[in-house]
Amino acid sequence: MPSERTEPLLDVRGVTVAFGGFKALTNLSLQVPPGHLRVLIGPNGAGKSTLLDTIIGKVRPDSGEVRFAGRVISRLPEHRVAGLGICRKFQAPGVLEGLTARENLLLAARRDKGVLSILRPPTPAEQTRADELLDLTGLTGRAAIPAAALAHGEKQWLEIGMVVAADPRLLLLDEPTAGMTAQETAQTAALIQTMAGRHTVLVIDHDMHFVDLLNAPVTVLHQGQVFREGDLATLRADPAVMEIYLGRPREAAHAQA
Amino acid sequence: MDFTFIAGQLFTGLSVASILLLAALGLALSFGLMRVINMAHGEFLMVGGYLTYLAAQWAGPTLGDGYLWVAFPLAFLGSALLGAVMEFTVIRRLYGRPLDTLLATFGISLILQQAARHLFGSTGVPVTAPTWLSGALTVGDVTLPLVRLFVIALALAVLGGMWWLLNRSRFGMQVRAVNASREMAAALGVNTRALDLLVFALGAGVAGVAGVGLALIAPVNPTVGAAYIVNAFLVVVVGGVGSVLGGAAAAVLLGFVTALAEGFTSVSLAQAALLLLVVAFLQWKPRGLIPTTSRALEDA
Amino acid sequence: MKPSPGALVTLALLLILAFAPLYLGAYPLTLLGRVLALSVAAVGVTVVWGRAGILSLGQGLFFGLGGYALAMHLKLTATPPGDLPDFMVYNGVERLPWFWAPFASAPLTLLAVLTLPAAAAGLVAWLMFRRRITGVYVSIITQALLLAFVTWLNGAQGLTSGTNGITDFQTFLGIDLRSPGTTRGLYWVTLAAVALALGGTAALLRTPFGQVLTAIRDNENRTRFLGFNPAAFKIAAFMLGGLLAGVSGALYTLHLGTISPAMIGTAFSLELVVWVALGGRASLLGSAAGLVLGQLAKDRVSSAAPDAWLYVMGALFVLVVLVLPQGVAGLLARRPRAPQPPLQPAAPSPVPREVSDAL
Ligand SMILES: Nc1ncnc2c1ncn2[C@@H]1O[C@H](COP(=O)(O)OP(=O)(O)OP(=O)(O)O)[C@@H](O)[C@H]1O
Ligand SMILES: [Mg+2]
Repeated sequence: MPSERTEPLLDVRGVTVAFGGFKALTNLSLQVPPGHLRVLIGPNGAGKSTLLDTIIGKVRPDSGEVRFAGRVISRLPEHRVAGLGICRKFQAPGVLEGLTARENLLLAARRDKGVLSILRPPTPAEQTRADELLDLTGLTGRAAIPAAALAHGEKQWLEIGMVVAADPRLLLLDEPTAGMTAQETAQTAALIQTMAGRHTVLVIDHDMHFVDLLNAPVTVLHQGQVFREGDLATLRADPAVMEIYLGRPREAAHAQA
Repeated sequence: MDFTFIAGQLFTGLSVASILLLAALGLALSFGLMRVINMAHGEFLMVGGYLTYLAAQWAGPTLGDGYLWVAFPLAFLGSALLGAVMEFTVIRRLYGRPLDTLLATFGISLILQQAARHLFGSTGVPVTAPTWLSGALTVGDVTLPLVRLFVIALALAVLGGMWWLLNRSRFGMQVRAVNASREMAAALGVNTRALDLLVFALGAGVAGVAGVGLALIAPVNPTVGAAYIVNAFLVVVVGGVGSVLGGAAAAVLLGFVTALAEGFTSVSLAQAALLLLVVAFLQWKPRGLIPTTSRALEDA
Repeated sequence: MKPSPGALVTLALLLILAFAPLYLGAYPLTLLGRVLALSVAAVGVTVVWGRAGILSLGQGLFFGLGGYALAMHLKLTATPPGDLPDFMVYNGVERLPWFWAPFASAPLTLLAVLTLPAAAAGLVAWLMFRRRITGVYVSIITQALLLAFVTWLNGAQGLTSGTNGITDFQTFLGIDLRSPGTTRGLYWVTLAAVALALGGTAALLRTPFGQVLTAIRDNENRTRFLGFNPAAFKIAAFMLGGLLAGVSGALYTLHLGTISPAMIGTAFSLELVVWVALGGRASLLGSAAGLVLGQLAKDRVSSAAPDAWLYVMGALFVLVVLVLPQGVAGLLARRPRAPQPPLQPAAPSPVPREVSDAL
């Protein structure tokens, strides 16, 4: 596609998602240009995770569509979406517990994921890549034990390693720093910044310190809609944003529902 | 095929559906609440049947037809007690491992069947229905045996009672809360462990009552529960997990289809066709007639 | 790649077994051959259940398809040309049913044994996994399908010989099935099949294919979002399980000289599962050995005290699951490489479904 440079890589167009009668996303639109880093914040229940669910095909939009590199992806099966180069890190650590850390990375790194092509053993390039990432995530010494036996923090790192191994075009991170120490949070922020540019990244987080470190444009989600967009400093000064976070009593109750 | 024949088959189907429904109720309850498939559930039916037989033996000579009013509480409490013991000793140790629970309860079912064979022999023991149930009602050309009418009424009564219990009582509110979110319910002070035990025992007790109905219709033998259990599972699967209404609809549907099919083809072919039909149905609605939409059920 | 200790033990055992005809009497040898034939199906259960986490209670269906395919051929060979098999004559069937016709040919029959059960398994799996039917639903549906098959076999007297099953075979590929030499040959053929099943499956599971199966068992959603299509992998695993069950059924039919609905029903399918569970559901050698030893024990106990046997079986189901979830193999493994299923005996709530829900 010749115009890909100017076109957004991720293009969410007027998406509505309803659970029963409750609208988790209402006519939501969001664009992320290729190579950009974007942060998504918003109070609990704003619909941030649901938006990611919709992008990766776990949840189907009731109306609207999601486009990726100009192509409608909101009707593809999940594994096909992943195959296009969209990778998501979930809120709860999602490593493959029965496999070793190295096997986790090798599976994430391979390109051909069909039921027949899987018989091919990992290429030397994939092996090298896995070893590099073990080194990067500090898991070299723990490479051969089942991931189930890793500590919580180690699992987080392993999953970040898997995301990097997958080398996706679009990277979706849902609260990647939950449960991390301040130092690990800073390391993660640095890692994400080095990935932006070559990859397009969308990050969700509640930790404003972390968001600050990322130093990227921020989109505020509220009640399933885009509430504000801008840089963190401007948003912080915005009383309306403060209000949805602190909430008037009525709305706080509503957001809990 | 004439109308009388079809009407007769439908009526038989309805009475079969009644027992199926009672058997499926307990299954649906514990599956909805605990994700537990109890392969020994059919044996609660069997226990209820044998307890009816014993009630007729012991109380029959003194109470005459009144033995039936002894049989109901006996069957309910006997099966419920057995269910409680099972829940306490095996099932709660296997929480979160549904496939393992299935295997363990299958083992229990083998043991219970063999025990019944030891105690009562492998041929069926007959229970004589009370004299006031021995006649038949004639509507036009169709004969409706009173026993079968009684079984249908019994199912309706139990269904009504269960509906009240689940939708109108405090106990039911707690059950629904745990169904929606176990953590949240626990945080709000529901004793989820005790509730699991109660629900499981209740489901077993209801199956025991179904066993009374079964004993009135046919002799009780050690494999009577096994014969019903697969269809009862199908009722749960077709009806939608944890849905009492869906279960009732599915039971009636399956009862009718079997009865009608048996009218036109051989019994075994009808049974085989029914099973295939259910698998085909799941292609269309993999979550049953009335799917429960709860975030907690997502990965069922 | 360095051979694992499990592979070395397997090799040693196979070697010892290969010489069994030299040191075993006629009856023990027949018995051993018979249970070895069954162990091929157990290897399939390990793949489907132990690795892919799919508990099929209907393996008897695929076992039966393999067994009946061969039995039909043997029956036709034992029938004088131009005649109908005896049971068809008794049941007033006048022409050979269409689905019997191909089984007059030995090559077609062998082809059918190798493809029919696998294809049936593939179809069943496709129907289930396409709609994301999982867990206990799969167990119930497979059991229901098996029940439908057995019910049909029993009911369709004239086509299948009903409850009596198909029997009275004489020759296979021109070999007299009743000569003592055949027993020995059949034993070796069976052992070769066991070796092939174990070796082939082990090799397959060593590839990333095995890892993806494990991944799907532990966290299907996560695997899907990594770009793998779980349905395709589960169908493949299920087909392999069906293939092995079918081969096992054909061999077993040869050993026993008969096949009947009672041999493939629910009881059979569950027994298969319990021996695999006892041996170690995730271990190929464990489950094959569990089946062989279990069936040998059954032969002893059930002939001495038939009533007690069902109690033993029942208790085994409960105890294995409660006390030995990874079976004897899990107990013996020094470094438990095989991941444990989530065990939380006294946890206040069934956590896994909430955790997976977070995905
Ligand atoms: N599968 C579902 N079924 C029903 N309701 C759902 C489902 N998924 C999300 N919701 C509801 O949609 C709303 C948005 O949820 P979502 O998880 O997207 O919020 P979030 O912005 O990620 O919040 P948090 O910051 O707490 O992670 C919530 O009210 C939630 O309860
Ligand atoms: Mg969220």
